[in-house]
This record gives sequence, structure tokens and C-alpha cells, in this order.
Amino acid sequence: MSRPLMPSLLHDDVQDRLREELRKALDKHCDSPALHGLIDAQQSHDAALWRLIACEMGLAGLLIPDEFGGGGATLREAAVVMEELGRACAPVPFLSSAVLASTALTVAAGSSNTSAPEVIGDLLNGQIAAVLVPATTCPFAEYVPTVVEHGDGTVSGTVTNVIGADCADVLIVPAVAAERIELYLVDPAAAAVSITRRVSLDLTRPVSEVTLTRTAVKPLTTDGVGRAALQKALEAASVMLAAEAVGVADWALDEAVAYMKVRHQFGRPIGSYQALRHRAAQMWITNSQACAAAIYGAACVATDHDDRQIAAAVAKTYCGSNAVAVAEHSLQLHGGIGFTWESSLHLRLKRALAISSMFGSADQLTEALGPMIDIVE
Amino acid sequence: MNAPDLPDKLEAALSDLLAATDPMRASDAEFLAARFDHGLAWLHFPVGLGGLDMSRRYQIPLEQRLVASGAEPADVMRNPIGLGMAAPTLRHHGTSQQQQRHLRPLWTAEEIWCQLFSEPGAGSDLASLGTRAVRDADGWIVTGHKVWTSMAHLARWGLLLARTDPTVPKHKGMSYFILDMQTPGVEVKPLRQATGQAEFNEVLLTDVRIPDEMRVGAVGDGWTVARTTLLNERSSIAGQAPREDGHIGQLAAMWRAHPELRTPALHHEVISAWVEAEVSRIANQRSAQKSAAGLPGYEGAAGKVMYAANNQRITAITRRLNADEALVYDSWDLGADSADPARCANFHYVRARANSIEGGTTEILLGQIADRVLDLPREPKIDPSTPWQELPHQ
Repeated sequence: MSRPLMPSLLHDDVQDRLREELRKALDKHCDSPALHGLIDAQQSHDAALWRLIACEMGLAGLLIPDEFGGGGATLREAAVVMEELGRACAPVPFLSSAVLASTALTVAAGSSNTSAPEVIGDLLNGQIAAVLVPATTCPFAEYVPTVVEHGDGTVSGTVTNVIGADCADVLIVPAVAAERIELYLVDPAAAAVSITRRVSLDLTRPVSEVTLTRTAVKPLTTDGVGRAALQKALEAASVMLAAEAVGVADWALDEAVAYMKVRHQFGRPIGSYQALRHRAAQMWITNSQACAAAIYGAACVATDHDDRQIAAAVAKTYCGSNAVAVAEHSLQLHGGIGFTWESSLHLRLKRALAISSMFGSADQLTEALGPMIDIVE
Repeated sequence: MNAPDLPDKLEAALSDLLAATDPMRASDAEFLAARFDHGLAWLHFPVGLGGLDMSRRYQIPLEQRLVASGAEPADVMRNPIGLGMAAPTLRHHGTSQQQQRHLRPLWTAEEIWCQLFSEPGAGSDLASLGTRAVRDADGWIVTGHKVWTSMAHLARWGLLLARTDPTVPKHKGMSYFILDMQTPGVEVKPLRQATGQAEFNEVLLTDVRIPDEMRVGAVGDGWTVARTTLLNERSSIAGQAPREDGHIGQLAAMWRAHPELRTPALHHEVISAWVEAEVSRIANQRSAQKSAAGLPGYEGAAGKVMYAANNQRITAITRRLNADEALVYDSWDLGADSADPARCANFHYVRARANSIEGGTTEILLGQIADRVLDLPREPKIDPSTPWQELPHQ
């Protein structure tokens, strides 16, 4: 086994300040009443919160290179944003637009005759983009798009489990074009596009089914660049979800610990019972491990390190499973109140479950890791 | 590897050392002694006691320069209790006489050290220990029973914690001594463990006489001195642990070499265990980076809990993979070598059961995290100001 070099696994001052600023904003604008309000109103995202994060704080362009007018930051900074959004369970299309779509567009901008720079400009102005790929796609297995380009500037096909499509201003469609995979641009308002929001497990980031019927498209990539753009976007999404999972798990632990200090039964705080103290300590241990794994993953993918696929797969599988387990424990530690609709614990549990099923589930990653680490069946 | 530059004072001492003693010709013991005499043993110690009163951050560069000059890398395991526990204890709490007498032969490993803390009735609750030291005209008379003592059979000196006043609260009634292991009344017996071998000893103390000059710290201050000993100063000479280190490396190697042993169920387990081991590796690196940056944290305790959990899980899988050997063992003999890497899968499984107990049980560590990291309400406990002799004892 090769000896991978170890990057810094510590956050720097820039990242700390970003986190502080974002947390303040989310504490104010994304509290439990805000989340429940959105869900009751059956909205798929919080437009005002997105404007604040995307435009006022400039985070829509975080990963866009500065040569296109973006923030020129790396996945390490984006990871901090994802952590905070996970903590808050924020209903904003950061993953779909600022990570997936932005990454695909940045690679596409290297293609000839592309309109990618124009679309990037729109994103920097707060427009939302979504990539039509199932969120259940594993970045480390071969993905063949279910949309086909007919050779005449139109595409057809259905894509399920798409995040961020129902609030998007522009759709990026991976499609099979002859022997290649290319990316195309579609106007979601066009008649030949049908977007159906599904009743989703995670009400703060619902999924949609999108059907295109001989829909007219504009090419975003040519010369087969689409495959590389899609691959890079999927890997980024996967490792960013590891970071989001860390945020969810940290919130779940913090809430449980706070509750255990104030809830009294049998004459003393439940946090003084050994079984519960030990359970909380175990949660802290796995959370601190997940934190390290997520940083390593982000660092490796950000620098296109040799170890990046292993690092991303390890981060995603560990952090995803951990967030689910910690959310489950947190619900349990809250007793009956943890099971109510009014509590926001179930929202975090569902967010954790969704994360664990997106862009590399534990089962998919177990399959994918085997050949990567030479432990094959 | 580039030999790093050192401050002038250090360069000068290094030149003197290498001029006086050629590492390629001197024996390991001779070279170690020469290092001590030139202040190049433990740099942060005072001058005259093996150091130059310099920052510890030059220690690793010094070791690298010495190796580059042809010296064997200094083996920390030549006197682990001595180097890791006795030396820092003597440095912080020992008298000048004790430091002068003991530090040099400790460093050269001419005199091996052991630690006499745990007792049958005092493991996790070490402060409740009952080995009794009674004052008489010439010093102290000690009677008691110590267990899980590594190195006792080879040791010249022991670090002994004993009760000198049973009438005060438990934390206030202990004193700390250097025990001459050759004193009449000291009986060392191998402590045979579940693996069949004895990596540790029990030490029976019957009316053992200890001169008062061997006491370390004030009477009644034993717990304070012991806390220094237990701080477990491990130098970070270890560096970066490679991927697939230890048991996970052995499991992976076995998997790769034996396709005939593979099953789909075990495949899933092996990959899962690989991920856990890899995440712990990364987490330990982060912990080391935090430590080096001076950032506080309890990731060390987390690391120990995970080390035990991972080892137990991996050795269990390895045993299942080795299906043909599931019902046999290599040797239950007392004299078999516990450190032999070729020990069988069943040995490693049994040995790993102790990983969650030795050096701080998992349960105690979880409790410490609950207290110090999560600030959770404390468990109900006996009033710590209760005199030791009024506490319930087994």
C-alpha cells in the first residue's frame, strides 16, 4: 500500500471566520420555526435565505474560479459551508447549485464553443442551476445517463431523484450523444420539460422526477468533456456531503447533551446516568473521527491528490453512516419528545438518512472501495 | 533525508560528542552514556542531568542528525517505564540526589524500571489503594500486593505508590517511593494471562524496608507525584503511522494472499474494518497536528478507545477468515513469546480483549470525556472527603 502524504487537517483563520459568519446568519434566519414554517407551506427551498447566503454573503460563487469572477475558494472552504448548512438543516440549493452545477460548469468552461461562462455569470447573480443526475448515483461506478441526445439538438429521457430541480432557473443535462457523454442546457420553464416534485423523505431538500420530451437544448460541452465534468461534479458532491454529515452529527450531539443537562427524572438530570453519559461520549468520539475523515477527503479532492477517490469514498461512507447513527441516538436520548413532529430532531435524522443515500451509499461504496484498495471478492 | 540545522549550542555539543565517541565503533550502551554526558540525551532536561535546558522541539532533529552520523536510532523500548514514567517523575519531583543517582543509568538502560501502582483492589479506582507504608526510625516498612506490573522481573528500581495515612481522605493519604527491587521482602511472580503467557507480574511486598531518602515528594503528596507519572509522556518520534499498519495490515495481507478463504459476508466485514482503521489513522494524525499546534483536545482518549475497538473487531474478523485454524492455538506455554508477530489469529483475538482494559478502561475514558469534554452532570459518588479507612473495601 502506498504511503499517502498527510495534508493539514486543521481549519485556518479564513475558514473559522466563514463558519462564524454563516452560523450567525443561520441561527437567526434558519431556526426551528423557520424550518417548520417552510415545511407547512410546502415550499422546497427558502428563497430569502438563499439570497442572503448566495448573494449577500457571496457563497454562490465560492467554488467558481476568480478568473470567472467567483470566490476562487476550494472544497475545504465549501466543506465549512456544508457543515454549517448541515447543522442548520438549511433548505437552500447550495449542494445542487454551488457545488454540483458550479463544478460541472467550471470544467465545461474548458470546452470549445461553450456557453458555460455565461451561465456561471448568472449563478454569480443568484440564479440557481441543477444537474439532472439521480442523487442515488455512485460517483465511483460507471454512470450512463438516462437522457439521449437525438443528433438534432433535442434530448429525451427521464431522470429520477434529482435535487434542486424544482427551484432551478437553468438545468444542466448530462446526455448520451453518440458514443460520448455531453452536458446540455435546458430551460426548466420550457413546455417539453416536466418537473414533478416527489413527496420526499427529507422535506428540507426534496427530490424531483424530470422528464424531457424532445426538448431543445444548447450544448454546454463538446469533445467528450461532459464525462469529465460530470465525474468531477459527482466526486465533489460526495465529499461535500461527508462534510454536511459532520454538521448534522455535531448538531445532534449538541442537542442531546443540552437536553441531558436539563431533563430530570427520578430526582436527577438524566445526563448523570452512566449509560447515557457513555453513549454521549461514544457519539463525541465518532464525531471527532468523522470530522478528520471529512477534512482529509475534502483536502484530497481539492488538490486532485492521488489518494482522492479512496479519501472521498472513506469520508462519505463513514461520515454518512455516523450521522445517521448519531441522529438515531440523539432521538433516543430525547425520549418521547424526540419523536414528536414539533421537535426538529426528525428533520436532522431524515437529512442524515438522505445524505447516506446520496452520491455514494455505504453499500455502493463498499462495492467501489474493494478494487480501489485491492480487497476484492 | 536532509539532516536539519540545529542551534549553535546544540551543534557545538554534537561536534564534541562525535569527536569523543564514534557512533560506528562504540557499543549502543557506550554511545548512550556519551550522549548523556554531553547533554544530548533529553535536551529539555537540566545541564548535568543529560540535557542542555533546551526546547523539546529540537529532540527529533537531534535524533535525525545522530542517525545520519551513523548512530543506531535510540530504542524507546529499551527502558519504557524508565524513560516514559520514571524520568519525568524524577525530573519534576525528585531530589537532586535522586536525580544524580538514577537518571544516567536509566537513560543507558543499565538499570530498568517498573511501575508499582495497580492492586487487586485498586485498578480503575487507583486512589483507593491499600499497600501500607508505616514509618519507623530508619524509614518505612511496606506491606502490600501490586499487580499488572510490567518489567518487574527485569527491573532494578520500581515506582511505588503506597498509603502512609489511612485516616485522611484517600487522595491525601498516599506517598511515593523509589523501591530497590533487590530489597528483602520483594517477591516478583509472573502474572499469567488469558493468552497463556505472562507479559506482567504481581509483586508481593512483605515488610519491605525503604529508607526515607527514597521518598519522592512530601509525605501525603503521593497522588500529585503519581499524576506526573501517569501523564504518559510519549514523544512523537513515532511520526506518521502508515496506512494498513498493525492488525488491519495483517488482515488485508491474509485476504490478498488467500482467495480460497474469501466469502461475500467476510468481504463486506473486511472492507468495513478497513474503513474504520483508516478513519482512525486520519483522526490520530489530526490529533497529533492539533497537539503540535498547541490546541487542546481529548482526541488522545478517543484514539485509545478506538484503538481497542478496532483491534477487537479486526482480530475477530481475522479469526473468522482463518477458518481452518479456528479451533487450534499455537502455544499456551508460559514461556511463549507474546511479541512474536507470527502468533496465531486466536492469540491476537484473545490478547486484544485486554486492549479495552489496560492503560485506562474504555468505560473510564468514556466517563472522562463525558465530564471534561461534554460537561455532563456527574454520576452520584461517595463524598471524596471520607477518610480512606471508612470507605467500603473488598
